[in-house]
Amino acid sequence: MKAKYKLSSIIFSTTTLFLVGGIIYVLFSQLQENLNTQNIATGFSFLGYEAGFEISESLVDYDSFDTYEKALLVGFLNTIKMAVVGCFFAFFIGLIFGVMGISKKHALKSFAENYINIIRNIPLLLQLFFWYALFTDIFPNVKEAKSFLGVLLTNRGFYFPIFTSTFVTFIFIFITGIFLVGILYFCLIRIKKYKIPSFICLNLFSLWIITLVFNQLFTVTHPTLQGFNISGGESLSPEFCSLFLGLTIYTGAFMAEIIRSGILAIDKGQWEAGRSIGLNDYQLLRFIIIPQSFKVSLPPLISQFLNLTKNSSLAVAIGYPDFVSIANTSMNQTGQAIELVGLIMAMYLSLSLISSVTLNFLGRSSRA
Amino acid sequence: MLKDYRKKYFNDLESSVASLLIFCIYFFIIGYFFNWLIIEGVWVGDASVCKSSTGACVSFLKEKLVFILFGVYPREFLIRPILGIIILILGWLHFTKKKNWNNLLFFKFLALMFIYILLLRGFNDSFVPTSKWGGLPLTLLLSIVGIALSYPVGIFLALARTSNQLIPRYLSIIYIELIRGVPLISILFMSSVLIPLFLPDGVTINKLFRAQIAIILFSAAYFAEVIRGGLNSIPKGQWEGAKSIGLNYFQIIRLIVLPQALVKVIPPTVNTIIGMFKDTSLVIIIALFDLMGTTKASMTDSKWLGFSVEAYFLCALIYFIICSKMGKFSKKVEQELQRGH
Amino acid sequence: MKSSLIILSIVLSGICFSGTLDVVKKRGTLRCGVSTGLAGFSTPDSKGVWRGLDVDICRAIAAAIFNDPKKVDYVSLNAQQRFTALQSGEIDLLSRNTTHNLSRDTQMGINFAPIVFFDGQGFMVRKKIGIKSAMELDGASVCTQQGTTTELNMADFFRSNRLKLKPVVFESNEEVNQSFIKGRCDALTTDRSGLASERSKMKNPGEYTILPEVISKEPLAPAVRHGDDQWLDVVKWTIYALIEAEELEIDSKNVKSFSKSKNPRVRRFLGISRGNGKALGLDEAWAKNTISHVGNYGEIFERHVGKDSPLKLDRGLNNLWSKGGLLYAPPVR
Repeated sequence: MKAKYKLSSIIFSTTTLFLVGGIIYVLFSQLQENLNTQNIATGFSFLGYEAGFEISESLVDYDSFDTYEKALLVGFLNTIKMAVVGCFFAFFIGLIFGVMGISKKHALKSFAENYINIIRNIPLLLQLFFWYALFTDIFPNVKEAKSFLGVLLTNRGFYFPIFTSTFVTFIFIFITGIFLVGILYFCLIRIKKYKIPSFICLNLFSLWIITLVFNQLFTVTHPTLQGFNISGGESLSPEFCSLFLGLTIYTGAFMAEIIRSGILAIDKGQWEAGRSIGLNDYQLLRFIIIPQSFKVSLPPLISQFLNLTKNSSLAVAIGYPDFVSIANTSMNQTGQAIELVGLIMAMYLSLSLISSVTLNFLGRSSRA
Repeated sequence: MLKDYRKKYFNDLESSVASLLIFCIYFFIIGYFFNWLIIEGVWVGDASVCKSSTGACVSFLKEKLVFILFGVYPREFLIRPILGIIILILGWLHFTKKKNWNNLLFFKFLALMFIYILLLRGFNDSFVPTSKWGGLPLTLLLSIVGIALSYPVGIFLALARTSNQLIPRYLSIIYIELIRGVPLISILFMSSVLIPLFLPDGVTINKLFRAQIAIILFSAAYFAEVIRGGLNSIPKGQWEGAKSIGLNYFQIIRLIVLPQALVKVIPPTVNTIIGMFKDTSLVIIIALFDLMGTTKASMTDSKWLGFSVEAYFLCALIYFIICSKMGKFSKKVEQELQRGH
Repeated sequence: MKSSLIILSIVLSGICFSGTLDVVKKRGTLRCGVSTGLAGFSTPDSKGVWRGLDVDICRAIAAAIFNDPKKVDYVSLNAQQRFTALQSGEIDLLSRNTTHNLSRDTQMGINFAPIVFFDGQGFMVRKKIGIKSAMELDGASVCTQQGTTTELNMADFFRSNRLKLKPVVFESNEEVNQSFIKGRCDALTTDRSGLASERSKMKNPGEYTILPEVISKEPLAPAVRHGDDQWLDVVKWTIYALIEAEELEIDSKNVKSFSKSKNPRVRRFLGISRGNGKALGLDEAWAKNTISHVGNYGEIFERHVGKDSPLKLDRGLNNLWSKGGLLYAPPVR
């Protein structure tokens, strides 16, 4: 009986292979024929052609002289920028609302539950459109820009002052980055009590030093209205802001649910043991429960990070020039849809594979 | 009852402070909303009245309601999509009662969808082409048909992935990882722009079909993963016991493993279904006018410009009602399953 | 669905490649790709009936084939889908204010029919800004639609004049216009006929002005698929017939009176002298049918974008060669 089983399975496997192979062959030969009769260009040589269009925001220098390859690179960097910043803040939101969701104070708990419920049940695209409409409707024209703490609020973006020297900007961002990472570390991992206050103080002090003492040496350029637009300073476009807000709030709600169920999955015994040695709820959470819950929540959290990255492709609907958006424009201009759709899928696949490999490396399965 | 509230919200000092804070926030939000909608809301009047007031322009919603819900469906046949939605609601009420769960469920469901499509389509004189279908009926059609047809495909993929035959396993792994690793937008682009290039001369597939195919391909991969989780959770003892009474692979799957596995993973399945329902809103990007598409289109009427918030609010409300109903159903099932253990 | 049944029957009845003309005749309707709504060119009126210059081109070809301008299925397409719909055979003809240029002609698998509207790209700004020329747009934000030649031409113009440009691109035409009205950008750019069309729809058209610069050539022409010469001939000559009719001073009102004409040119045109219809694969009275149902080019122009329409555009380049324009039809003989 065992031999018969094996034979039938071999037959099944080979027929499946031939079937799938046959379908793929038929499809691709038809594709080839269509491309030939209609004389549609193929191949990746178009990447070296001049793009001809401008991109509204870019991390590297780009103008319409540059190639499609450069344009796609700009899009890729924009996607990464959104993904990194978005994941970071989404995690914070998730942490805050996740912990709120298990709070003993019923008001907080129901607030978190209602919030998560509402955010999760409305499509992300709708939330993005809503935020975008809000940003462009509420904020005034550049000519009537409102100023708030030195930041100019307009419907073309938020313009804030920045250090004239890029070197100082980098140092500033670096210190701020360390500060934020420090907060993360502080919340999650056990740190002996005396280390924390000194860590924070050190960061605050260095920030204070830089901004106050060296204010004379490092000039700051303020944004001002010149001609049609505001020049000087850095800006955050309404596209970036609405995509950022929409993505972080949406993904944050999902992360909150995951973190909450991770915390609830910890054995009650841990809570009881912690209380019996005199820890209060806050210390319990910080030192015992949350670190353990991350073993459970990490895989679904990573998949939420991936979701955020994939969802950033919705940028095409609100005009943020991410990879998909620029590929879409290129598709319309060159007509080479196959190559570009292939590039889009390859890019997201590689990001997804990298995260799978990382998880496996950390010893966990990426499916929860 | 008042005592319960006091215990819940004002148990101790910390709790009371938090509750007061939250209640303040609620009060402000609800108060602002109430003010916007009811007190300053323009319920009667045209665009100029609306523009001069700072409240919600409800007359805009009243004017555009039919358009947002039904798109450009011919007005004289409007009774048909309305009937279709009513049938779907009745179907939902019927299918979510546990006592109705039997083998005929799937066939009843297929019959329901068949009737629904026929209603939308009409015959001869009253034929309405798919290019005119839009709004809520289109969203429901895309998501329900998409989910219904992708579920069997998902089962098939999950079985392939957990089988010990090399070829089916690797083929399905490639498919699932490929589809899950890319955003739905790219699959929609692929279907709307690439599928025509794969077809022989003269054969075309309707735009709606192409979007439907994309949604089915996409959902199948996600369902496959959920079902795989269920399959993996069936103890090996079940397999061994079934083999020992002489059942072959297909019988084991059909009679023993699948019924248990599918029921076990109903909560994540319903979560995936809710996710897919929301994702159908992406078809606006390939210019299909589902509920989101008609909402956006309603805002471009030059006579009624600038009321995007009202339109989005209505659209969000509809999605929220449908999704939360499904979510509640999922919680109910989860509780029943837990009780069963 | 009905469309798939039709497709199946076509495939079954014509296994080897049959020309588009045969397919259209068998089907009984012409499938025409139009825009998602551009006043003057293709837009549905309040009853859902499509109207516009591009729409009339479709109607003219349907009249030439079937002697009935109503035998057209209109498929609304956005800028991204228009070429794939044509390539795949979903539509027979793309009549959607599409610019004829080299890359589209060679790389997209389509052929262009004669130009039906000579246009150029321009800018529209609010009068309040107070600028009189596009050269003053240094540093301005300009709204435009994604994936169009407009986007590329705009970049070229700013670059060659060493002006700084801040592009604001959107997927759909409606979003572009809305953003411009809301003040998200300082200027709007598209074909000048498009600018006029959008301005006519605005609440206060008088607040906006179209700057005088014409920064590119935008010859708008219908398109068909590569590899079907007979179909291209049909479309080409129907359009030439519209122009030739205006030159012969035949319009929809007086076409009947011309049937007694002794002028050999008129006789060949109206099909009284036989031969041309057969060569094209159409009825001998194809031109007569077209003119009597749809009118000549001049009538179509004035009806949708000229003095009888809200756009009120001048004939300008879109006039007969004999009157100073660029419309020149080869002889119908």
